Amino acid sequence: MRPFIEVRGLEHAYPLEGGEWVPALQGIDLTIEPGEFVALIGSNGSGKSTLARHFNGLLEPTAGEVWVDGLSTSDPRHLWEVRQRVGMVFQNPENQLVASTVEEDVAFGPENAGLPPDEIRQRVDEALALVGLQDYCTHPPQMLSGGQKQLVAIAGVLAARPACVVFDEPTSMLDPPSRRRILDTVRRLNVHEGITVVLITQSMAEAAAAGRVLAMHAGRIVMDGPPREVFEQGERLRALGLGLPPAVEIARRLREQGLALPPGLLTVEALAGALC
Amino acid sequence: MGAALLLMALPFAAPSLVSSLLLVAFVIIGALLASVPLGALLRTLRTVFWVGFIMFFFYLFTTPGEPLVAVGSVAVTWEGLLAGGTQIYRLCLLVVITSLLTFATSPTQLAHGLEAVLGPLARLGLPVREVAMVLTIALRFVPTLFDEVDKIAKAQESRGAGVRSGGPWRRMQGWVPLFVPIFVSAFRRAEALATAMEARGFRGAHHRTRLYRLRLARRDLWATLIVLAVSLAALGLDRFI
Amino acid sequence: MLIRIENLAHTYARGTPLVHDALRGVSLEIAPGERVGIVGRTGSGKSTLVQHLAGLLKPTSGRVLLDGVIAHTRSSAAQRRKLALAFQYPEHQIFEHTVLREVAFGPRHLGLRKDEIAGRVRWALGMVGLDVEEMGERVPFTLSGGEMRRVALASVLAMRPEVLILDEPTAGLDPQGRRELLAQVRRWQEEIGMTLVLVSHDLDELAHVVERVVLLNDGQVAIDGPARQVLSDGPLLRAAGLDVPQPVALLQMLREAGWDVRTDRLLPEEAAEEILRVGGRA
Repeated sequence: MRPFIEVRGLEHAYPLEGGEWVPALQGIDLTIEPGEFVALIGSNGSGKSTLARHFNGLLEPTAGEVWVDGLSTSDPRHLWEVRQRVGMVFQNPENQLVASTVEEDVAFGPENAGLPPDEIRQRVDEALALVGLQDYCTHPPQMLSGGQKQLVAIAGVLAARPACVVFDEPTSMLDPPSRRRILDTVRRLNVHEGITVVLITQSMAEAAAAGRVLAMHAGRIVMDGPPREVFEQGERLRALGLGLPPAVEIARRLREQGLALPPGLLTVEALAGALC
Repeated sequence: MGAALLLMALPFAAPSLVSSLLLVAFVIIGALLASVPLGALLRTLRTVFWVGFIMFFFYLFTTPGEPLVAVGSVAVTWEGLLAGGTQIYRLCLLVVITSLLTFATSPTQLAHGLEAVLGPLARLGLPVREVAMVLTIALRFVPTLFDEVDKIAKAQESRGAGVRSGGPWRRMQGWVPLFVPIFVSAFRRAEALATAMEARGFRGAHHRTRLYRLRLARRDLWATLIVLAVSLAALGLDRFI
Repeated sequence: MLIRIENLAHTYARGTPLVHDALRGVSLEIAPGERVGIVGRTGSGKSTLVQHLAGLLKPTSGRVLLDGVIAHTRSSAAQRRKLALAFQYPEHQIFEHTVLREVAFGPRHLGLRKDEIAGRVRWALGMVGLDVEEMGERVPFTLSGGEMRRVALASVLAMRPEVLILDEPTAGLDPQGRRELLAQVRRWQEEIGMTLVLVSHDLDELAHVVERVVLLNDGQVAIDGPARQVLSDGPLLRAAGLDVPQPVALLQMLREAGWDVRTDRLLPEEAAEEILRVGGRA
């Protein structure tokens, strides 16, 4: 099966006043298979968001190429198809909502595609059902909590029936209950709807729930593997400005003191299970 | 709720004269039909109180005619009283009718209606649909901006930059710590929104379809006819009185 | 400065359909030098509460007293000057065109002499880990997000408050940024000896800094006590929409399995020690 996203030799630089160029991405090679759940971690400035914006053609490579489902993102003719296949949810729930009611906002994507009103209606209802907000159709944004706004944003992206959704720190501005709700939704979309997920996050615990973790530093991918492998390298992660999920931290200290524990314990449940 | 098309036509009925009673009655009936509380409608007049006040006095003292009371070289005339009163009446009617419109129609419907009415102008190359979109988005963010202003005002106040406290010069200076962050935030917000819109396939207002389409219903035609009738009657009654 | 809150209630938007009771009878006292955490989910009333502490809101009922003076009146100006509040994402309040001027903003309003202000600015920038020579003349808006956050916090610190209130200070920072900021906050508190009020919903983080925790739920104080006690009270925290820190969760699971562990160890290293003490090699 062909990879869903393929990146080869990707470089991206930002121009500064005065003619200098700031390298944001330096030589990225990457493939993402359909149906994967990939977490992307890295300190602020490591290039995570920049990389993600190449997946839906918001940014164009300065060098190298990015293919989405066989389409090159550098080709302007394919741009809109690429954006239909790869949706993106951003960090600030407020700054993604465009309309005065929930259903009108979710309809935004299909409206842009010029779909007939009946189909738009169907898509809106489908998308809202997927995130559990069917009863909120006519609510205005100001009556929604941060978590609900983010769910509306997700529904808005789902209305285009994408094959992949990139989430750029979707829970950074939310409280714990809302975070759990968003992450459950993300997981459900990946497992039940088969949507490929790329989750950018600053929470190591969130990253530990993914199937694959990519760690970035200074514009390069420096770690790539399943969570239990990546989070074994505590020292390296700290040096990269990252950390460990609490359970992994505890397990590490226990092992240091001579306690024999199997590798790959990522959650407190797993750790408790191993200790008993 | 009839199409916004209908309600757009109402304000044109405002500048009529002696047929005032007819129009006032119409407005009251309209308000009752649209379930708009009359008290709220009347309260909107508060916004134009000062304008009306000044206008009244302007007309009172400057309209030529038979003097009633003289204060030095300036005279209050009967015609002045009449002219002043008429202008106030017109002003109030205009405000109330417009308020009736905004109370009875949601901002989105208003924007849709406006887009529909001005739609034909798009053929002349005017960016009607883009402007309508800008309008809708601006309306959606009004509550958000209110909250933001409040937040930043409080943040700066806690640093000692009160707009509430201090003398007039101090208070004016207090506006800078308020305006700059709000502007910066507005630009940041606009950029984030534009990026999100682009990511969702927005490429200009052309070729867009809509979830809800305004359709001209029988109710709208009746309403338009009634408004026309009232307007004509209002204008016509003048001839006979 | 002693802070007393007596039966504080606050209702937003009275008389409109959006009426909302943000605070419903909150009473508590904060003594000088305490390190208090205020926790709760979004909508529990945390932000409203701290705004009352800073005298920015008028209570619907009840009182907020700063050293015995009611907070939101003009007469408490002297007390309010000793209190500094940093809102969430404090970099959003930056408006000056140089870092120096931004940090000097607070001290200027305190009516200090020029040389005093310069000293404060230098000190405050040092406290947040920025070099005044290097950063002083830079335009704040050209700095990175993390640097802007530090500048904003320096501008609050420069007022050398007796009470420092921080609302979610680590929001949006990466793991290293969070670690550094929390360590700095601890250092400030130790150096200046100020009262510290930290609002957060990240309990794992809070455990590193505060000694007392006030849990808010639906506008009321659900519990107010030592951090170890509050943060290990699973049922209460879950009822309020939060959950115990991960180390506590682990210890509670072990306890349920029959281990004789204390469950109020809040930090990963403490939990590890406790496990070794009881189950493995110490």
